[in-house]
Amino acid sequence: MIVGSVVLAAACHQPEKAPGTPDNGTTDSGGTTDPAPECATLDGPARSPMRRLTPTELDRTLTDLLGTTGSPAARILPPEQVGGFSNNVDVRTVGADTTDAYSRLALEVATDVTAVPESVLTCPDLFEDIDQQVEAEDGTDEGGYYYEDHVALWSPGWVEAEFDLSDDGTYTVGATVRGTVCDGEMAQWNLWIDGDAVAEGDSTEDWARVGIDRHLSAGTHTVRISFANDCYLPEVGEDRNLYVDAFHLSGTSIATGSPAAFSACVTDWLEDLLPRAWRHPIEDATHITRLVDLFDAASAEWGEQAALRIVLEVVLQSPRFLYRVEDTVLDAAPGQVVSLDDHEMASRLSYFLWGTMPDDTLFAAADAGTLSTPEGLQAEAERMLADPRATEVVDLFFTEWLELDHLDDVEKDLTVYPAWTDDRPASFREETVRFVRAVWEDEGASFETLLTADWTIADPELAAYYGFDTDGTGWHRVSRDPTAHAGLLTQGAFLASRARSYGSSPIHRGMFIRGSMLCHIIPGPDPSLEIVVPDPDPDATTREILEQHREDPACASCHDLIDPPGLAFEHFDGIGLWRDYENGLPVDASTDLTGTDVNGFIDGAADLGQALARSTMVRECFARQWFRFAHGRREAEGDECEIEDAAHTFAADHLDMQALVLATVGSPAFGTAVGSD
Amino acid sequence: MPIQPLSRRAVLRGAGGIAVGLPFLSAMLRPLRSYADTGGQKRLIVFFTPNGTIPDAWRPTGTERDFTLSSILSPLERHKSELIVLDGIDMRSALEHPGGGNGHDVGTGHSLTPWSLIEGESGVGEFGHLWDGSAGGQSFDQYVAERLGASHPFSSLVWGVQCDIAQAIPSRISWKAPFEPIRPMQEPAAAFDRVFGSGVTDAASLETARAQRLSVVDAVLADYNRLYAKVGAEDRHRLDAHIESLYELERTVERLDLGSCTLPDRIDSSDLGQVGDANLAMLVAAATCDLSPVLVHQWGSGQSARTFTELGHTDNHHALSHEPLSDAEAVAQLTAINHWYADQLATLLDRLSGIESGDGTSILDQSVVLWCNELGNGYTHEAANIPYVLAGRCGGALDTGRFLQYDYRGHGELFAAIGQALGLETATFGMPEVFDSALTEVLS
Repeated sequence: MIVGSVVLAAACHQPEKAPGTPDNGTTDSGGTTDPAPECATLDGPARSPMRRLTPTELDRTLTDLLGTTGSPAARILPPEQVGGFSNNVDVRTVGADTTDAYSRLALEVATDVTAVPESVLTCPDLFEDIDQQVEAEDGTDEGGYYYEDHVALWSPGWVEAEFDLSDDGTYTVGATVRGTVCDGEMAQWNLWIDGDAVAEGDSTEDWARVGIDRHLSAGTHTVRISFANDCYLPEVGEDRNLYVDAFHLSGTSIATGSPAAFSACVTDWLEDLLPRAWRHPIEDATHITRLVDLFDAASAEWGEQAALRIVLEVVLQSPRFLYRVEDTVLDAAPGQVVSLDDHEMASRLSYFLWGTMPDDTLFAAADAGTLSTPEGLQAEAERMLADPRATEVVDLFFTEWLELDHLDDVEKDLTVYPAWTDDRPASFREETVRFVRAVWEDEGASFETLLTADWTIADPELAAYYGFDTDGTGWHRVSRDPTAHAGLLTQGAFLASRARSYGSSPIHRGMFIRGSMLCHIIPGPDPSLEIVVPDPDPDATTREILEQHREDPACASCHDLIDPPGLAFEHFDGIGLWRDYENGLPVDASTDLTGTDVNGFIDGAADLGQALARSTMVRECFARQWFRFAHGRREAEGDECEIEDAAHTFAADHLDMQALVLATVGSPAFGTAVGSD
Repeated sequence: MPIQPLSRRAVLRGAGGIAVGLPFLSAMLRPLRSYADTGGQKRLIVFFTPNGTIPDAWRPTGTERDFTLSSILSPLERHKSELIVLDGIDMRSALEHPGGGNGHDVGTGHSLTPWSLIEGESGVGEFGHLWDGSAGGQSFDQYVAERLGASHPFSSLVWGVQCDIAQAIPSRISWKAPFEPIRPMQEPAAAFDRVFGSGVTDAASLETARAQRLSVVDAVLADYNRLYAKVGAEDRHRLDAHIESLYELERTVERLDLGSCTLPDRIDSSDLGQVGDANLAMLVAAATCDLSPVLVHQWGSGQSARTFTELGHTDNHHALSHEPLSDAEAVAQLTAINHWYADQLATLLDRLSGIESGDGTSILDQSVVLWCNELGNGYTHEAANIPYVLAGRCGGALDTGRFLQYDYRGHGELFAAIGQALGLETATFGMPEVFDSALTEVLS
């Protein structure tokens, strides 16, 4: 039963303009004609939620803290939903599967690190390598024949020796044996420890060491080699015998220190590790003494190595490791705006620009108190932005802003696009990532260039796909026709991911412009509307088909805003290639832009790129995106002033995106926090 | 939301939350339940499929006790006497009080949660999605889990195939509470490690590992409880979820005993067919080994875009569901997809009915399986006439082998009846505005 068949007029919002934006700003990128906005009393951020490390941040942190390799967090932790930027604090929740995964991750990493405990606890006299040997001829036997330096077992029998161990540990236990053959079979050795049969095997003609690893406790242990598969064929001269030279018992890193010595060493170790793991000096010593007590209790029960691993597991699941805890904020009164301390700033800076914990230089700057001055902070930020480690974070921003991961899900109708291959998405992604990097590093990080460049980065295969002329090899700069192409939005990654399997999609392309470049919120279709996606029409262009749905007033109010920017891309088909005709009809990529500060007639994507580069709304939106990315949350009303300020600096600095990032670092929302109830 | 101490040790520790992290001694272990003790353990199994159905190919013909299964439901013929097919149940909450969100959010967001959707901090986003919103209540499976699963290693287990899309509301059906969705386990190897303790069954190793793991969990919990005392409203909810999950983990580690359990194979694959097979094998093993009384399998997010290459299709499920009903080929493909799901269910029922519980009845006899969908008629995208099918006698509480037809009853009313069948005395479920009375006709 359908409730109500009335088609409701979808109330389409007037697009929200960022405050203080003129309606017809047509300034060039060199500067802005309006004065700096009055955000005199910057009250700090609207919210300061505690942020949990993302799986990627966690992997980098584990590498920097403990030298972990192989990205175990990405492998073990459940994938997290991505709505907007993946570090968004309001979208990521912790469930039972996540805590279970954290516990298994901690176990794996801690086991790895403590596999050689003496590399963790480096105090002297805690560990010892044990290597004991008892000659077989000094042992006892049954059925053995003694030579000067070994014992022979010609018939079933055994020989054994005793070892005295002063400490528990995992030891390699065995003997050196050899044997002879009879009837095609070698003599078999059987190894016994303290009366239990633990291993067996065939001997070899030459002396060879045989044995197994075994956990043994302190005390006396008996090791025996027995021989049972006797064989004697004198008629063919074969006689199967086993010979035993010596018994061995060895172990590396056996804990031989006293409990007190271990306690003291663990304390030293934690005093070094914990401030780095928690990214803050430890003011309350009980954090450390508690862990040492845990070590002592676990050690008495399961031994020193297990205890060391257990302590490290706890450290790696601690909220102060997995979250970025800022005590300054927790201690603040509700609504009180506080400045973060130096170490908290260091953490914010390193997670923002490098996605990992602070390095030694940054820790030193924090220790010296230089991060609490604007100059000191900017100096470190500039150092970090110039470091190759920043590249990954910049890549991440653009990957998420452009939703490049959607490329992985793209499906194309091969009857419409026979030129499409499964590896095309990867090559498109490579082009866009390299292009962004080239702009960032070599073109003054110019946002204008990003949107208007008449070149791209392609390899010969991709260039051939697009139909560009080039002589270069590898991934290199390739020129494009500036009347047709302009920057990022005329690259395959954008065009093909925002398209249908059988054609282009002005709606999806237009939505990106509206939503992600202008930051306008367009509500979705009313749930009671019956949406019928029109079938492709072989006698019409995409543009013509879409016009029909804009005639319906229920659809037009929003689609009059969404479709026009998307129509500017109509010269590009669903797989990112230029077309002059669609279904035999000439393509019309002209459009009338409304609801922006650069309204007017637009003819094609290159024209649109130029307009967007001029738009103050777009600049503010870009600043807004960086705010969300830096702070891991959507902005609230109280944050608007900050964003305006950052956008202003961005424009004044020739749309240098690096300047925008540095302005974000220098903003009050970055360096202060507000207490909660 | 209060922190619930679930272990005796937490009580011994006292309100200060100070823990020395004592090594866990075997003597303190709670006696572990074995399946033989629990003949008669009732179980809820949820089988969720997306994108609605083709009503004319789904609906049986005939009368209440003398009916013929449709083409879509035909694989279930051998279990017909254990089924209750329900026609005419609507998600009234979705139709009358959807809450925010667009059409795609509403069906999935009301599937097991008959309340209006709730907007999150960011309000309404692009395409009208509730960007960080939530279903409006505790889902039915979690309601049951809270009551039946309190002493099991897991109060519930949720598996899925390809269920992650950007937003929570159109992708999740299990909600512990508003803003606390449960992500279905979609990586079989990781799910195996979590549910079956990585397959370690050697008793001595298990004991030591368990005791050590508990020492760690206890110390970690103490850390979180200490921090919790310091945080403000902004972070409390976030840490609450984490701490509650840690208590769940503690309970699982304490109680998980796989000694007499036949483990399924550990499958490491991302092939959707293999993921589905592996999930169901784990579900059956979890039922057999009594790991949880609530087992959920989610066959995709709402608006699932899975392409059924195994059926020879090239268009994805969601795209097909948008084709008009006059498109015979699309209708045939959608019918085939739903038939395939019915076949999967029939196989699952085979296995559940082949396993004896402690008192000689089968697991299926003691359970109720709920096949539900986010939509009814996939083409119109309506949350009406949802193709519900129940299977299993639920320990005799359900009167099965019937085809029931209704005109506009709400799904909360169906869930209340299922709750009663499970022995929970559920008087009402979902928002009261769309609840008139429990659908007690399904009961014996």
